[in-house]
Order: sequence, then C-alpha cells, then structure tokens
Amino acid sequence: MWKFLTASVFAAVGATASAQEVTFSMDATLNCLSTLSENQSPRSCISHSANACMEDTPGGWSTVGMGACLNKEYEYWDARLNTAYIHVRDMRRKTDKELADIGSSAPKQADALLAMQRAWIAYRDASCAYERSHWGGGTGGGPATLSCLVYLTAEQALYLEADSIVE
Amino acid sequence: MRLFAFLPALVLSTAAFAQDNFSPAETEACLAGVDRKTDKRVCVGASARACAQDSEEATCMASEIAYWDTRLTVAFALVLDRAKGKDDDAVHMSMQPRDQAGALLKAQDSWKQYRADTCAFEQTLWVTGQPDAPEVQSCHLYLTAEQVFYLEAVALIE
Repeated sequence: MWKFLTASVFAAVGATASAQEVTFSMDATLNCLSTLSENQSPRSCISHSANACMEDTPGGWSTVGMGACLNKEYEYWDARLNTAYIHVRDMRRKTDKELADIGSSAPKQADALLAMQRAWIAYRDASCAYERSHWGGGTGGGPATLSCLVYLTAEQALYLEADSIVE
Repeated sequence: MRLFAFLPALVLSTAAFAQDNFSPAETEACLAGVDRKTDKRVCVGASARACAQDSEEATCMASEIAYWDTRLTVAFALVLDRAKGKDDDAVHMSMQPRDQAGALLKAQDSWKQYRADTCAFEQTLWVTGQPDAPEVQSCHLYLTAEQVFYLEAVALIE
C-alpha cells in the first residue's frame, strides 16, 4: 500500500532533475542533526546537503543544478520516511493485535496511522503546489517545489522516528 | 501597512480570554526574545503553562490553542488577500492567468485535514483515548503554531 502512496506525481520532476551529474553527500545535513543544541530546530539542518552539493558541483547554482541537488536530498528523505513509516506501522499493528487479543475495542492505531499518512501526502502535494505558485510559470518553480518537498518530507520522517510515536 | 491588520485581531483575542486565567503574554514575550537560531517552538505552550499554575491544565491548553487558531485565521486572511491581489494584477496587466488564491485555499484545507488526522492518530496512542488528553491537545497546539509561523513568514515576504 505504502509503495502506491509514494509513487507520487513528483516522480516526473525527480527523473528530469537527476539527469545531471552532481557531487552529493548527506554528510552536511546528518552532521548538523547529530550536533544539534537543545534549543535548535532539526529543521535548521534540512537541505544543508543540497546546499553543499550546489557549492561543490560545477554549475550547481543553475536552475538545473539546484534541482538535481535538491532532488538528491529529497530521495534520501523519501527513502528514510518509507523506512520510518514501515517501522511504525509494524509496531502499531503489533499493539493492535495485543489489544484485540485481550478483547479491547480501542480504535485501530494502524488504521489511524494510514489515514494520517494519506492526509500528509495530500498536504505535502498541495503545500508544494502553493510554493510553486509564487514563481508563476518561472523556472524557479522547479527548485522551489523540490525544496518544499525536501523540508516537508524530512520533517515527517523525523516525526515518525520520534520515540513517542514508535514505542 | 497591512501588518496593522494584525493588531485589532490580537486585541480581540486577548479580550476573549479574560474569563479565565489565560493570557498570551508569556508566549508573546518568549517569541519577542528568540534569536534567529532558536526554534520558535520553544515558546509554544508557555502561556498555557503559566495559566495552569492556578487553573485546570486542559482549560489552559484549550485557551492557548484558541489563541493560535485566531492568530492562524488572521495570518491566513492576510496571505489570501495578497494572493487574490496578485491574481487580479495578472488579469489587469494581461499577464499569464494565475490562481494563487486557489492554490493557497487548497493547501490550507489539506493542512487542516492533516492536523485532524495526525492528532487523531496520536489520540489512539494514549490510554485514555480522549480528545482532551494532554498529548492530543499538545498535538493541536504545536501543529497550529507551526502553521502560524509558516503563514506569518509568507506574509512578511510577500
């Protein structure tokens, strides 16, 4: 089910952008996340790797270069979100089964999780379409959409990885 | 100029909380003092915590959620107004037609559904399973505040 959910309209954006070779590593974002101070938002680390890629790639600050670098970080967070989702889903199914075994009629956690993730996908797509609308038909719309996807996807991945959701 | 539109709404929202011990002062003072590097989320809930020192916690949380909801309505109206203005400009200047207002309305509707479903999911995680469980209120509070931060930032840029 999840695979169908993530096979989004943005696959087309990604396929075009990644045609360019870029110098990309997730180090900058991950190093930032691992050295966060208490009052610093994880959000402040998101897209550090895409920015480093734009610096390190010849022509990285062109529209095509930015799109390709952002797409690399998007692919990372999308994969990480998939992994996090499957992990939470398995945990929630286990809890649902345990509750059902003792005769509980509590609402199913796994069903609520799926509803949430579907709503999140609609929210992500509509929000990033709105972000694109700031650019009219301009070429900045591509990187703006991808940047939005990077931020929202990273935040949802980090949300699903939180202890309170998994345990 | 348009920023002044915020003020009457905030005064109104302050008046609306006069019946209990809630005042948004702590949250607003905290926000006024954060530097660029600090996560604004650290300020969210500050007023509810102060209020809960001599009032019921759930009531205080409900009041701060209402405060952020009002602030969200104001920020959204401001951003929508500008989007409509730009859509109209495109018509008058015979530019490529655009529907940013439509895109914004759709984004906001989808955000409301996302907030509802996210907090409904969190509700299933807690023993009481009640909509006013502290964790569920906290979900509404933080998601609403974050959307306010987003739309207020858009309003400043636009």
